[in-house]
Amino acid sequence: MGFPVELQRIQVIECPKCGPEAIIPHMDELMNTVAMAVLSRPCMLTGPMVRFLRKYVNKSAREFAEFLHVDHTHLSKIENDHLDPGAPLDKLVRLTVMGLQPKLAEDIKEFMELMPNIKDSCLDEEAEIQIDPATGIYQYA
Amino acid sequence: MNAVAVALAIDMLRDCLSDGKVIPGRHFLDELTNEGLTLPDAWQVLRAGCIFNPPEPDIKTGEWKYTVEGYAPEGQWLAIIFSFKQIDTAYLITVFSVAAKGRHI
Repeated sequence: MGFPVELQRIQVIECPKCGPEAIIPHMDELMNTVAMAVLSRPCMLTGPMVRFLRKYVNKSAREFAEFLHVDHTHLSKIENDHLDPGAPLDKLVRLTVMGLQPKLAEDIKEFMELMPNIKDSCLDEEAEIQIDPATGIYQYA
Repeated sequence: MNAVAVALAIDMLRDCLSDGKVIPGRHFLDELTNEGLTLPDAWQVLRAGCIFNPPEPDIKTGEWKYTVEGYAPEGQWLAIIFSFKQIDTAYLITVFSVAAKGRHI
Protein backbone atom coordinates (compact mmCIF):
# COMPACT_ATOMS: atom_id res chain seq x y z
CA MET A 1 0.00 0.00 0.00
CA GLY A 2 2.97 2.29 0.58
CA PHE A 3 2.40 2.55 4.34
CA PRO A 4 2.33 -0.14 7.02
CA VAL A 5 -0.84 -2.23 7.12
CA GLU A 6 -1.08 -5.43 9.13
CA LEU A 7 -3.78 -7.93 8.27
CA GLN A 8 -4.69 -9.94 11.31
CA ARG A 9 -5.93 -13.49 11.53
CA ILE A 10 -5.50 -14.30 7.86
CA GLN A 11 -4.50 -17.63 6.42
CA VAL A 12 -1.34 -18.12 4.44
CA ILE A 13 -0.32 -20.79 1.98
CA GLU A 14 3.21 -22.06 1.77
CA CYS A 15 4.73 -21.85 -1.67
CA PRO A 16 7.69 -24.28 -1.75
CA LYS A 17 9.77 -21.88 -3.86
CA CYS A 18 8.73 -18.48 -2.60
CA GLY A 19 7.58 -18.87 0.99
CA PRO A 20 4.32 -17.83 2.65
CA GLU A 21 1.64 -16.11 0.58
CA ALA A 22 -1.32 -14.38 2.19
CA ILE A 23 -4.90 -15.36 1.39
CA ILE A 24 -6.84 -12.11 1.30
CA PRO A 25 -10.57 -12.51 1.88
CA HIS A 26 -13.11 -10.03 0.49
CA MET A 27 -10.52 -7.82 -1.16
CA ASP A 28 -13.09 -5.21 -2.20
CA GLU A 29 -14.22 -4.77 1.38
CA LEU A 30 -10.62 -4.75 2.59
CA MET A 31 -9.82 -1.84 0.30
CA ASN A 32 -12.84 0.03 1.65
CA THR A 33 -11.67 -0.67 5.20
CA VAL A 34 -8.12 0.52 4.51
CA ALA A 35 -9.53 3.65 2.90
CA MET A 36 -11.76 4.34 5.90
CA ALA A 37 -8.85 3.73 8.27
CA VAL A 38 -6.70 6.21 6.35
CA LEU A 39 -9.50 8.76 6.16
CA SER A 40 -9.97 8.44 9.91
CA ARG A 41 -6.30 8.95 10.71
CA PRO A 42 -6.26 11.27 13.73
CA CYS A 43 -3.40 13.32 12.35
CA MET A 44 -2.15 14.64 8.99
CA LEU A 45 -2.03 12.16 6.13
CA THR A 46 1.34 11.02 4.83
CA GLY A 47 2.24 11.24 1.16
CA PRO A 48 1.78 7.51 0.49
CA MET A 49 -1.62 7.69 2.18
CA VAL A 50 -2.70 10.49 -0.15
CA ARG A 51 -1.46 8.43 -3.10
CA PHE A 52 -3.38 5.38 -1.84
CA LEU A 53 -6.59 7.39 -1.51
CA ARG A 54 -6.16 8.79 -5.01
CA LYS A 55 -5.70 5.33 -6.50
CA TYR A 56 -8.54 3.99 -4.37
CA VAL A 57 -10.89 6.40 -6.16
CA ASN A 58 -9.17 5.52 -9.44
CA LYS A 59 -7.91 8.97 -10.34
CA SER A 60 -4.68 9.95 -12.03
CA ALA A 61 -2.54 12.60 -10.36
CA ARG A 62 -3.74 15.22 -12.85
CA GLU A 63 -7.41 14.32 -12.34
CA PHE A 64 -7.16 14.30 -8.55
CA ALA A 65 -5.20 17.57 -8.51
CA GLU A 66 -8.08 19.22 -10.37
CA PHE A 67 -10.48 18.22 -7.61
CA LEU A 68 -8.10 19.73 -5.07
CA HIS A 69 -7.48 22.87 -7.11
CA VAL A 70 -3.73 22.37 -7.04
CA ASP A 71 -1.15 21.71 -9.73
CA HIS A 72 -0.39 18.04 -10.32
CA THR A 73 3.29 18.70 -9.58
CA HIS A 74 2.27 20.03 -6.16
CA LEU A 75 0.26 16.87 -5.55
CA SER A 76 3.22 14.75 -6.66
CA LYS A 77 5.47 16.49 -4.11
CA ILE A 78 2.91 15.78 -1.41
CA GLU A 79 2.58 12.11 -2.40
CA ASN A 80 6.36 11.73 -2.33
CA ASP A 81 6.56 13.37 1.10
CA HIS A 82 8.59 16.31 -0.26
CA LEU A 83 5.88 18.68 0.93
CA ASP A 84 3.30 18.63 3.75
CA PRO A 85 -0.26 18.99 2.49
CA GLY A 86 -1.15 21.46 5.23
CA ALA A 87 -4.33 21.19 7.29
CA PRO A 88 -6.81 22.64 4.74
CA LEU A 89 -5.56 20.47 1.84
CA ASP A 90 -5.40 17.39 4.08
CA LYS A 91 -9.07 17.82 4.91
CA LEU A 92 -9.94 18.55 1.29
CA VAL A 93 -8.27 15.29 0.23
CA ARG A 94 -10.37 13.38 2.74
CA LEU A 95 -13.62 15.09 1.80
CA THR A 96 -12.95 14.63 -1.91
CA VAL A 97 -12.40 10.91 -1.46
CA MET A 98 -15.54 10.61 0.65
CA GLY A 99 -17.44 12.38 -2.09
CA LEU A 100 -16.05 10.27 -4.90
CA GLN A 101 -16.68 6.91 -3.26
CA PRO A 102 -20.40 6.26 -2.63
CA LYS A 103 -19.61 3.13 -0.60
CA LEU A 104 -18.17 5.33 2.13
CA ALA A 105 -21.21 7.58 2.28
CA GLU A 106 -22.77 5.69 5.19
CA ASP A 107 -19.71 6.56 7.29
CA ILE A 108 -19.90 10.28 6.54
CA LYS A 109 -21.51 11.29 9.82
CA GLU A 110 -18.89 9.50 11.90
CA PHE A 111 -16.20 10.94 9.67
CA MET A 112 -17.42 14.54 10.00
CA GLU A 113 -17.36 14.24 13.80
CA LEU A 114 -13.71 13.29 13.52
CA MET A 115 -12.69 16.19 11.31
CA PRO A 116 -12.25 18.96 13.93
CA ASN A 117 -9.97 16.71 15.98
CA ILE A 118 -7.38 15.90 13.34
CA LYS A 119 -3.98 16.94 14.68
CA ASP A 120 -1.03 18.25 12.71
CA SER A 121 1.16 15.33 13.68
CA CYS A 122 0.94 11.90 15.29
CA LEU A 123 2.97 10.77 18.27
CA ASP A 124 4.04 7.81 16.18
CA GLU A 125 4.14 8.73 12.50
CA GLU A 126 5.00 5.17 11.55
CA ALA A 127 2.13 3.56 13.47
CA GLU A 128 0.72 0.79 11.35
CA ILE A 129 -2.93 0.19 10.62
CA GLN A 130 -4.09 -3.16 11.95
CA ILE A 131 -7.08 -4.65 10.20
CA ASP A 132 -9.06 -7.78 10.88
CA PRO A 133 -10.55 -8.59 7.44
CA ALA A 134 -13.09 -10.95 9.00
CA THR A 135 -14.76 -8.19 11.01
CA GLY A 136 -13.68 -5.08 9.14
CA ILE A 137 -12.39 -3.59 12.38
CA TYR A 138 -9.26 -1.44 12.15
CA GLN A 139 -7.06 0.33 14.65
CA TYR A 140 -3.79 2.20 14.73
CA ALA A 141 -1.06 0.25 16.55
CA MET B 1 -10.21 -26.68 -12.05
CA ASN B 2 -11.43 -26.98 -15.63
CA ALA B 3 -11.13 -24.05 -17.98
CA VAL B 4 -14.11 -21.72 -18.02
CA ALA B 5 -15.37 -19.39 -20.71
CA VAL B 6 -14.04 -15.83 -20.68
CA ALA B 7 -17.40 -14.33 -19.74
CA LEU B 8 -17.75 -16.68 -16.79
CA ALA B 9 -14.13 -16.19 -15.76
CA ILE B 10 -14.52 -12.43 -15.37
CA ASP B 11 -17.66 -12.94 -13.26
CA MET B 12 -15.81 -15.47 -11.14
CA LEU B 13 -12.93 -13.04 -10.69
CA ARG B 14 -15.28 -10.30 -9.53
CA ASP B 15 -16.88 -12.77 -7.11
CA CYS B 16 -13.44 -13.64 -5.74
CA LEU B 17 -12.86 -9.94 -5.07
CA SER B 18 -16.20 -9.36 -3.39
CA ASP B 19 -17.09 -12.58 -1.61
CA GLY B 20 -14.17 -14.92 -2.12
CA LYS B 21 -10.41 -14.79 -1.74
CA VAL B 22 -7.45 -13.44 -3.64
CA ILE B 23 -3.89 -14.67 -3.20
CA PRO B 24 -1.27 -12.23 -4.49
CA GLY B 25 1.63 -14.54 -5.35
CA ARG B 26 5.17 -13.63 -4.42
CA HIS B 27 6.23 -13.22 -8.05
CA PHE B 28 3.16 -11.04 -8.69
CA LEU B 29 4.07 -8.76 -5.77
CA ASP B 30 7.70 -8.53 -6.91
CA GLU B 31 6.67 -7.63 -10.47
CA LEU B 32 4.17 -5.08 -9.15
CA THR B 33 7.00 -3.39 -7.25
CA ASN B 34 9.26 -3.56 -10.31
CA GLU B 35 6.58 -1.74 -12.29
CA GLY B 36 6.47 0.98 -9.62
CA LEU B 37 2.91 0.03 -8.71
CA THR B 38 1.03 -0.97 -5.56
CA LEU B 39 -1.93 -3.19 -4.78
CA PRO B 40 -4.57 -0.50 -5.41
CA ASP B 41 -3.33 -0.22 -9.00
CA ALA B 42 -3.79 -3.94 -9.51
CA TRP B 43 -7.12 -3.90 -7.70
CA GLN B 44 -8.55 -1.36 -10.15
CA VAL B 45 -7.59 -3.60 -13.06
CA LEU B 46 -8.97 -6.71 -11.39
CA ARG B 47 -12.31 -5.08 -10.65
CA ALA B 48 -12.82 -3.25 -13.94
CA GLY B 49 -10.57 -4.93 -16.49
CA CYS B 50 -11.52 -7.35 -19.25
CA ILE B 51 -10.39 -10.80 -20.27
CA PHE B 52 -9.88 -10.69 -24.03
CA ASN B 53 -8.37 -14.09 -24.71
CA PRO B 54 -9.25 -17.66 -23.77
CA PRO B 55 -7.22 -19.26 -20.99
CA GLU B 56 -3.93 -20.98 -21.60
CA PRO B 57 -2.77 -24.13 -19.85
CA ASP B 58 0.22 -23.95 -17.52
CA ILE B 59 2.42 -26.86 -18.58
CA LYS B 60 3.97 -27.23 -15.13
CA THR B 61 0.93 -26.98 -12.90
CA GLY B 62 -1.85 -28.06 -15.25
CA GLU B 63 -3.85 -25.02 -14.19
CA TRP B 64 -5.59 -22.71 -16.63
CA LYS B 65 -4.14 -19.19 -16.73
CA TYR B 66 -6.32 -16.19 -17.51
CA THR B 67 -5.21 -12.64 -18.30
CA VAL B 68 -7.26 -9.66 -17.18
CA GLU B 69 -6.25 -6.33 -18.71
CA GLY B 70 -7.12 -2.73 -18.09
CA TYR B 71 -5.97 0.73 -17.13
CA ALA B 72 -4.36 1.48 -13.79
CA PRO B 73 -5.26 4.86 -12.26
CA GLU B 74 -2.22 6.59 -13.75
CA GLY B 75 -3.03 5.36 -17.28
CA GLN B 76 -0.74 2.36 -17.59
CA TRP B 77 -2.27 -0.63 -19.39
CA LEU B 78 -1.72 -3.58 -17.11
CA ALA B 79 -2.08 -7.29 -17.75
CA ILE B 80 -2.53 -9.51 -14.70
CA ILE B 81 -2.18 -13.24 -15.17
CA PHE B 82 -4.11 -15.32 -12.67
CA SER B 83 -5.60 -18.74 -12.11
CA PHE B 84 -8.45 -20.12 -10.06
CA LYS B 85 -7.31 -22.30 -7.18
CA GLN B 86 -10.94 -22.88 -6.36
CA ILE B 87 -14.17 -21.41 -7.66
CA ASP B 88 -13.92 -18.64 -5.06
CA THR B 89 -10.14 -18.20 -4.93
CA ALA B 90 -8.04 -16.37 -7.51
CA TYR B 91 -4.26 -16.67 -7.45
CA LEU B 92 -2.40 -13.70 -8.95
CA ILE B 93 0.60 -15.09 -10.83
CA THR B 94 2.24 -12.08 -12.40
CA VAL B 95 1.66 -8.59 -13.79
CA PHE B 96 3.19 -6.51 -16.54
CA SER B 97 2.48 -3.23 -18.23
CA VAL B 98 2.02 -2.79 -21.95
CA ALA B 99 3.58 0.54 -22.80
CA ALA B 100 2.06 0.70 -26.27
CA LYS B 101 -1.45 0.65 -24.83
CA GLY B 102 -0.86 3.15 -22.03
CA ARG B 103 -2.54 6.52 -22.06
CA HIS B 104 -1.41 9.87 -20.74
CA ILE B 105 -3.96 11.32 -18.31
